[in-house]
Amino acid sequence: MSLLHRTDDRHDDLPELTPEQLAELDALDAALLGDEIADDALATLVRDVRAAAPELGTEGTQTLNDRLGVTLDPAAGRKALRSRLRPGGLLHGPGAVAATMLVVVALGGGAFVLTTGGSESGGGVLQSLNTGDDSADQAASAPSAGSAMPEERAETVLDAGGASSSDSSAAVERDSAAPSSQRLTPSAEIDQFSNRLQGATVTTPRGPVDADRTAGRAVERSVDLTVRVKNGGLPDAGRKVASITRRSNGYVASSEMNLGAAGAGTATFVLRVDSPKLDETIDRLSGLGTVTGQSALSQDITGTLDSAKQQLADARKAREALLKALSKATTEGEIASLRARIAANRRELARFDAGVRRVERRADLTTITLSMDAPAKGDPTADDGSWSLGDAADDAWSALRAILGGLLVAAAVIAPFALIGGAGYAVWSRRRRAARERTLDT
Amino acid sequence: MSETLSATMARPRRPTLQFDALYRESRADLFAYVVSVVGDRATAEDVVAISFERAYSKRRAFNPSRGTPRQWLFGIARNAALDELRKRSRRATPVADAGMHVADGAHAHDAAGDERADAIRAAIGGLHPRDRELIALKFFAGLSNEEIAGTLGITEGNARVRMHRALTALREACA
Repeated sequence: MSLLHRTDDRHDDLPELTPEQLAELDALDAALLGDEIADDALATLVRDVRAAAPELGTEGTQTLNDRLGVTLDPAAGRKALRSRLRPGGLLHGPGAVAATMLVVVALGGGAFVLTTGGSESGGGVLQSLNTGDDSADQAASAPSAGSAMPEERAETVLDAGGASSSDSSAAVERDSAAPSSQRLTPSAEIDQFSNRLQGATVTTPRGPVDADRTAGRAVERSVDLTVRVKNGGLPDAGRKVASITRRSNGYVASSEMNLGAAGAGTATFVLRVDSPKLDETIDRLSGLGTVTGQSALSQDITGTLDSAKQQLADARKAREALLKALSKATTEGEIASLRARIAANRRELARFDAGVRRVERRADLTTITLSMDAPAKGDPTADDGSWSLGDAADDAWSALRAILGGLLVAAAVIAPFALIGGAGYAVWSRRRRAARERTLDT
Repeated sequence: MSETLSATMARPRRPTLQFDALYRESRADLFAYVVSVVGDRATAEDVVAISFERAYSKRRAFNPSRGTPRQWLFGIARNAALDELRKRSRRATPVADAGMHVADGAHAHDAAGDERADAIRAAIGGLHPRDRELIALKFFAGLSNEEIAGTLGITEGNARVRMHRALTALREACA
């Protein structure tokens, strides 16, 4: 028996008990439960051994209760027990050291990721696209040849915040303190300036061309619009610009798009759209992103148009006179001379007619110079100060990436130590268990 | 015991471990077992207190699928007792010498009963420590063979074999 006890038999296959021995154990269990058994000796032994059991006693119980903080008051006892049974808590001993290491390494890893994670931006591939029909607009936008009439000009610049300033050859200034809710559309502002220049009363904003017709004036307009689109959204915005322009019966006179890395880039479009559709065009273009700048320029070209029309009328009168003179001419030399003058007059008529149509076209179409830019990711200037769900999602994703990165770094740092520590703990635990078992054999 | 400790000390995530009930039901049995292992009452009181402290701090780790609360508690107490024995580096004092305490004089006027009890204590104290431990777990704590196996970290079959041998040794010692 002593040999058996000197070995750790946790995994030994001891000989199985006989049915009689098993019955004896069953009888023992029954006796311990208080049942009557046939083996009187075993029943007596059970009774005697239980009677000889060491008892904790009242004093021992009180000592134990005091030590563990158990009292007659349930609430106080619960509180005391919680406060006194504390030494094995999570943040105690090795657990506290491990938790502290984990937190320190995770924070360090997170900081490392945050420090190195923003280096994606930089010089990227430059793509340049040039399209458009410059020639179609060059002639129309060029000053009218021979125009002697002064052209009145007014310009309004609106920044993103709604503050405005104006410049006019007629020193017309706009009330910049007007509430934003009363801010006029670009064409309405131009109309207002035109009417002020003429001393007319500003009424309810209408379409620019309708207003011009009512006032009998010809006004050339141009609008500069700067829009910031989201990161990576420049190509899509460019396609939408073309679509919006077509819906306004206009065309893209020129375009240039530079795409950098990380979704950043800039683009410039020169658009020619129907003046009556200027307002809705501006609205649609503004919807492509955040308007960061806007300016409108109006130029009253009524004088230029009148001058061109007058030249055309004079040429027609001259033609009529030449034709009348030709019908009265009798000599060969006189006839030849008149025919040469008529031919020259015909060329003048064609030139003046084209001039009139060119000036009319300047009033019928408005030039929109649209500048768009898409900021790089992480660019602090990209934030316009407003908050959106997208911003929140981006922030959450960035934070999650930083945390995951930190945890990954922490895991990489801790893993070797954890493996060594785990193996060491396993060996130590096995040896301690064996030592405990040996304690009973000594 | 009249005092109450109605608080449930375990969180209700797993099947609730009624720690206060476990304490009330097990402290006397645990003390009897630990005295049998360590050999003296003062040390046993310390070990029992340490055992409940450890059990409380580990109560969330209790897994009902791995045994009963009493088996789990006695396993903790066993480790604490053996650690104490190792610390003292001495052989456990025989139970009879360690003051098998008959509380409250329940048997004080029964001279024959005292003699029989002393004889039993002496017989138990003369057993091999492993047998004495098994006798304590079975007779004092009332653990089933399955619980004893779980407490000692052995198979139930081995627990039965060892229990039968311990019983035989006790019978011989008491004869």
